[in-house]
Order: sequence, then C-alpha cells, then structure tokens
Amino acid sequence: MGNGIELIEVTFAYSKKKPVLKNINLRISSGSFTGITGVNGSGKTSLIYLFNGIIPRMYNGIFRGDVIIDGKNTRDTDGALISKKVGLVFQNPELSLFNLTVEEEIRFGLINLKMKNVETRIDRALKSVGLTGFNKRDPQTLSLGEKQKVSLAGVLSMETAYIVLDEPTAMLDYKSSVELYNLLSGLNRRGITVITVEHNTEFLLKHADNVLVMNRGEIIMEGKTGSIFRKKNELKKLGIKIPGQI
Amino acid sequence: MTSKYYNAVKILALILTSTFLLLQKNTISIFLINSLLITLALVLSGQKIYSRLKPLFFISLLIILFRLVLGIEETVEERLAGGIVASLRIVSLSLLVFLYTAVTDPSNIIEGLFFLPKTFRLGLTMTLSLLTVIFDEINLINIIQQSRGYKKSFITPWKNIKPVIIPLLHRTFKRAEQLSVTLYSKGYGD
Repeated sequence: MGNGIELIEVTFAYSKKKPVLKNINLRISSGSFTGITGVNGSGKTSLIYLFNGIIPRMYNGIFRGDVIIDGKNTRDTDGALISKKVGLVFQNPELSLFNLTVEEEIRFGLINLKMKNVETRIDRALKSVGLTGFNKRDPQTLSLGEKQKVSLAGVLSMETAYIVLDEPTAMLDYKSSVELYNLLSGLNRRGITVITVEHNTEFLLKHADNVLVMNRGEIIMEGKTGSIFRKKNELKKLGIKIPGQI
Repeated sequence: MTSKYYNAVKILALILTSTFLLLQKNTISIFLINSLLITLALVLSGQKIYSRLKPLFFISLLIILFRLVLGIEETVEERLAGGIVASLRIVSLSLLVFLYTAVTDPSNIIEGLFFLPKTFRLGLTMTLSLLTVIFDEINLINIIQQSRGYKKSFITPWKNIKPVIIPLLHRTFKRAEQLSVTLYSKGYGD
C-alpha cells in the first residue's frame, strides 16, 4: 500500500481571474474511502484533476503548491506513471468514450500503459461491473448507465491503487447508483483507495470514511463522515443535502 | 488468415474494384457490375438500399442533364450515353461502399488498417465513432430548438444555422477537451 495523496498549499486558476482552488492542504490516506461534496462551481472537479496530474499538465493555468502521490511530486512524475497509480472516471461517459467496441475502450489504457495479460484484465473488469459478454458491443449504443460502467471497467482493468470518480451517479438511476457504490465499497475493502465527488450525501454517509466539503475553491470542512453530516446548520447554509439517517 | 489480414484484404478489394470501375470504359461491363451490386445490396440489406438509391437517382439525373446541356462538342446520343455511363459509375461506387460498410463493422475497418501509423488509426477510430454521435446531436439540438418555438426559414436560410451550430460547436469543443483529458488520464502519448 502507498503513502496516500498529499496536497500542500495548492492554488490553481484557469486564467488570471480568480482561482478555482485556493490554498488547499489535504491528506488522503491510502486505503480510505473519501467523499467530496459541495455545490456546483465549488472546485470539486478541479480538485480531483490534481490527483491524476491533469492539472497542471493539461491546463495551462496558474498553479502553485505541490501534489504528492505515494511520495512522488506530480510535477516531476511521468504522466503514464501517475495513470498507473490513479484511475479517473469522468462525470459524463458520453464525452469520454471514443472507441468502436467496449473491449477496445478498455484495451486502450492497458496498451498505452504497456500492461500484461490484457485479455484477462478486460474480461475481469467487465465481470466486475456486470457487463460480461459486452466485449464486441459499440459503446455509443449502450445506455448511460452501461456507458458509465464501461468507463469504470476501463479504470478497474488498470488495477490502480487509487480510483477517483467525478459524480459517478449523476447519470445513473437509483438502482445502478446503489450497485456502483456497493462495487466501490467492495474495491475499497480490497485495499483500493476510493475518492468520489458526490452530491447525493446518502451514498457518502453509507460508504465513505471521510468527507470533504468544498465551497468557492476551498475545503471548508473535513473529517469523519458522521461528524461532518452532524453539522446540519452549516451544511444547510451551504446548500448541501443532509442525509436522512443522520 | 488472421482477422487483421482478412480485413486488410477486404479494404484492398474495395480499392481495386473502385479503381477498376473508374478505369472501365466498356458500358456493358459497368452496367453488369451495377446490376450485380444492386442485386447483392438487395439481398444483403433489403429495404435499406432504397434510401441509399433515392438520392443517387437524383444525382444521376443531374449528371445526365448536365452532360446533355454542356457537352456541346458531341452528338445528343453520345452525350446521353456518356451521361448514363458516368452516373452508373457513381451509383456503382456508392453501392460498393454501401455493401462494404453493410458487411464490415467499423472496428474491423480500423483493424484492416493495421499498417498505418497508430495516431492515424486513433484519429480514424474517433472519427468513425463520433460521426454518428454528432449527427444524433444535430437531430437532438433541432428537436430542442423546435420545442422552444424555433422554425426553419426558407427565405433566410442562413438564420437557421445559428441556433443549431452554436450549441453543436459548444458540445463538440467540450467533447474534444474531455477526450484529450481522457487520453491523458489513460497514459496516451507518454
């Protein structure tokens, strides 16, 4: 197991205008299940882009601070090496799937990262998300839920130590969302660190160990899930749904 | 023969047959090939062929008409024969591609192009995959705009473009940005 993810004094702005992330200090332990919540535009997606090195490599903004993954600074680490450690599932699978078959979609990352046992990994990943036999299907013809599962299978096949998901249930029905979170919990029990951006706080209450609450580019609350969701008044002011069973 | 070589042979056969059709001067041969292709298309794809033949019929008529009007150095019979041969060629080429795509999955087309550089094949994969998506999006944007009272104008057709092209461009740029981020996150290019 690695050392976890550490963010030290991170500030990021896409342009010279106001920063989307302000002075972030954060430590995510290896093997934990962390939920990130906050209203739209609070900087959640930008925050998780830091974990995969997408920021600052893909966005030429103003970046200060350090992002350390398993002891290595993302500034000095090869992009492929970060991808081998941190898998990212994007919010809208419609915008990120581009191959002509499901198996090619999954194979893409495995070939880029020069991984072995490609076929076994593909079959195993598809089985994990309940899409066995979908190998030759065209991803564009699948339902949104199935597309989301294909995206997740692509990351699972890479067997990364960290899985980061950006609002994975945004396009799923309730049943699929429950199944997805059960799957993520199972992965977490096997030692994989799960970080998920989620508006549905019920899922975070049930599955996450820790919760971060973001607002206007800052982490304004951080701690154990139960203790965060007990701060009802503060959450209400921020416009965050308080889970029913708290 | 492995799958990739089989698919490569199919592409080669398509290119060779197209070249043969373009170079062929014998009207009877072209007519026979055309008839054969229509029969095959009917057998393989049934009703679908009619939607393909409909626009081709008008294109063929236009070609014959242009040849009749513009080919002033030839006799009327020669112009008519020339127009028919040219339109038969175009119909045959279109049917040939139609037949090829009817019996070949896009993924097999890419597999058959294994000899091309990786970046080129990736670009082609994205194009084949996203082309249908973009057409679907155009239809969807049209429906959305019509539900908001947008009506196509035949008097000022340029005004029809704006409500469709702006959301489409926005979606396409967003898709392009997301794709580049996805490629990066999956280790492409490193």
